[in-house]
This record gives sequence, C-alpha cells and structure tokens, in this order.
Amino acid sequence: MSQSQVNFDYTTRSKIQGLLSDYTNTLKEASDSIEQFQTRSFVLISLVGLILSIGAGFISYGWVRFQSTGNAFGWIAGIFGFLVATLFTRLYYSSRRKSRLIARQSEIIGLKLERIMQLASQIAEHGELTAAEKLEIELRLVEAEGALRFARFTGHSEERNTSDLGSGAGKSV
Amino acid sequence: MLYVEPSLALSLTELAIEKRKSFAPLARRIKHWLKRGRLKIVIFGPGGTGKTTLGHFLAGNLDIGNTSAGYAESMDVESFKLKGDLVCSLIVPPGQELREYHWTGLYRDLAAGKSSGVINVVSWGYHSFQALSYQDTKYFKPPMTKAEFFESYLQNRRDREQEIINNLTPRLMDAKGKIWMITLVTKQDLWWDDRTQVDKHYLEGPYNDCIQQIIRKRGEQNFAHEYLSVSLIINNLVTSAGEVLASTVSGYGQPIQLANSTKFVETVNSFASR
Repeated sequence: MSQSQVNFDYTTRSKIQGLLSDYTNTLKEASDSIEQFQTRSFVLISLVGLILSIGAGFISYGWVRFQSTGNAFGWIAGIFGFLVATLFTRLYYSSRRKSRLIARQSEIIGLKLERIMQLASQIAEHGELTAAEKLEIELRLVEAEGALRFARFTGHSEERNTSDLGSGAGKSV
Repeated sequence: MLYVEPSLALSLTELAIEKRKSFAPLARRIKHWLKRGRLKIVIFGPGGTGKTTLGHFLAGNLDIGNTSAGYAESMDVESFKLKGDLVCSLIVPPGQELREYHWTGLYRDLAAGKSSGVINVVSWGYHSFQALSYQDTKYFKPPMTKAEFFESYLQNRRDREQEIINNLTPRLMDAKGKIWMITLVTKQDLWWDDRTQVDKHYLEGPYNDCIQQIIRKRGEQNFAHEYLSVSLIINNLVTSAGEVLASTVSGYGQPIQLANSTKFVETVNSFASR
C-alpha cells in the first residue's frame, strides 16, 4: 500500500467528518476574531484622530490662557490627550499585529480545511456510503464552504495560486 | 466527427503556435465589449473531466505540452477571463454530484439569458479522482481485477455524463435568448485509439438525442451546437495510490493535440463573436 493510500472504513470516514467539522469551527472562530480586531482597530484609530484634534485644540487654547492668566488646565488637558492618543495608537498596533497573526493562522487552517473538504467530497462521490452519511457530508461541506468564503471575504485567506493547475486554482466567485 | 485527423494536424500546428503567441490589443477588446458587453460562458460537466484545466487553458494560463500537477477537486465556483478579443468570463462550478447545488444559480442565469454560451465537458468516462485507491471506490467489488473495475467505473461515469446532459437539456430548451453550446470530449490522449467508438457514443447515442431535442425546441437560429475534443494535458489516468488505470495512447502527440485544441479555441471565439 502506498503512502497516500488510505482505507476508508467507517472509523476513518467518521474521523474525516469530525475533522471537517472541527476545522470549519476553528476557521469560523479565526474569521470572527479577525473581524473583531478589525473593528477594534477602526474604533481605536478613530479615537486617536479625535483625541489628537481635540488635544491640539486644548494645547493651543491652554497656551494662550497660560500666557494671560497663568491657568495651565488647557495645556495639561492637551498633553494628557496626547498621552492617551499614544496609548491608543499602541493598542491599535498591537491589535493589528494580533489580527495579522490570526490571519496567517487562518490561511493555514483554510488550506487544511480545503484538503479535508476535497477528501470528504471525493469519498462521498466515489466511496460506498449510505444516504445518511452522504447527507451529513453534504451539509458539512456547505458549512465549510461558507466558512472558507467568509475567511476570504475578511481578506486574510490566501489567494489561490493560479499556476497550481488542476487544484481549483481559478478565482473563486 | 469530433476530432481532427492526424493527416490534417501537422498543417494546423504552425498556425496554432502563432495564434497562441498573439496578444489581442486593448482597442479590439474595448470594441467587442462595447458591441456585445461582458459575455459569460458556463462550463458544466462531471467532476474530474478537466473543467478547471479548461478554464486555465482558455484564460491562457496553460500551454500545450504542459504536464499535469495531478488532479485536485475544485472547492468553489471559479471564474476565469477568456484570453483574446472578447471580454468574457468563464464560470466553472464543481462537478461532483454532492456539490451540484452550485449549479442552481447558473441554471437561473441561463434561464434569464445572462449566459451566452455553455461548454459541457465530458471525457468518455475517463474521469480523474483523488485520494482513493480504486479498491476503495464503490465501483470495485471483490474479486474484481483492475481491468474489470475500470470497465465498471467507465460505465458509471458515462452514465453520470448522460445524467448531466439530461438535467441540462430542459434548462437549455427554456433558456432566454440565443445560446450556443460546445460538447467537449477531453482526455483525447487516453481514448485516441477508440476514437470511432467515442464519436459513435456521443453522436449516435442518447447524448445526441438530448442535443437534438434542444435543437428541435429552440430551432437552429437560437441554438448552435458543436462536438469537439481535445487533450489539454497528456497524462496517464493514475489514482492517488499510483495505480495506472489508463495510459496515454502511443502515437498520440503534440501535432494532434495542437490541431484539436486550435479548432476548439477557434470555435469558442467564433461562437462567442456571433
């Protein structure tokens, strides 16, 4: 028996179905996390922009007030604003880095899921399966496809390599 | 006849190489786009017949003489852009029975007249499959030999091809607007010695009954059809376990391959330009 040859008995088939389900869920979770980080990044960068513009206003206002009355409140508030903006910028970068790390992970999960999907689909097409087993695989495949599409939509799943012929290498629609 | 005979092949080879090298100027593409808009061609067919490879070939990503990287099932509906003057998308859905739900939307497009052409890819049963040994498939019943298995497999896959054209027939009969179709028999290199039989199978059997039914319903004005055959990649039919199910026919070479693929490309272009 060659290395790539596997006996597709009931246990193996169940295992493949289980893997299909597990990887689908993991990919979904990864995509959700990426989406959350993207939203968080967007909120943070908006806040930084807002704080910076208000902070700049406070500083210039505080400078004038300080010159005339010696009241340093506006100035201090402006500087505090800049410190908060710096903190938020740092949070933004950390959020973006985490998002990229998860994206890289989700690329790998996506590729693995695709391999499992191919295996499951081939078993369903050419293997000796009961109607119930076929239905189960079909439903799991639909779910896995949805997860893959969503992962691609979030823009982090790997672009298909168009030179890898015969491996579903066109642009997905 | 669905193939170019070897006697004609050599004279067409030089022309084919020249054509494959030429790039269409942007102006011609714009002219075609203004005249006809964006065309859509749907590639139907069972899994493992070479639909994705055909997409690559028409998109100009695959050169004749290329050797296969092995079969891997497509996981989603794919789209390619046709190389040449025409502004045209090629839509390729997965062909596995279990994944036919992808076809529903494409049938809808046909009904709405959004697709101008259909290529139905068949391969006289020589469908590739992945990951399994032939002994793991449902077609193998012990104590079958490999040859007996393959006979049973081919028959099953030919039935699947017929099932697809049976399902496609009513959709094509009711499709809106003028439509053209090419029945493309791939993997010519595997069945070349049996070409008269292949010709007979498609042109005189129940497959052609379906085509005639569509022609009768729509009329020749509204439905153009052509039978053609190609070999996009010359390769043995091998399972993932390394078992050779069918070998490339000796004597089948690049001149025949080029001549037939040129004829196919020309037909696609002439149909799509109508």
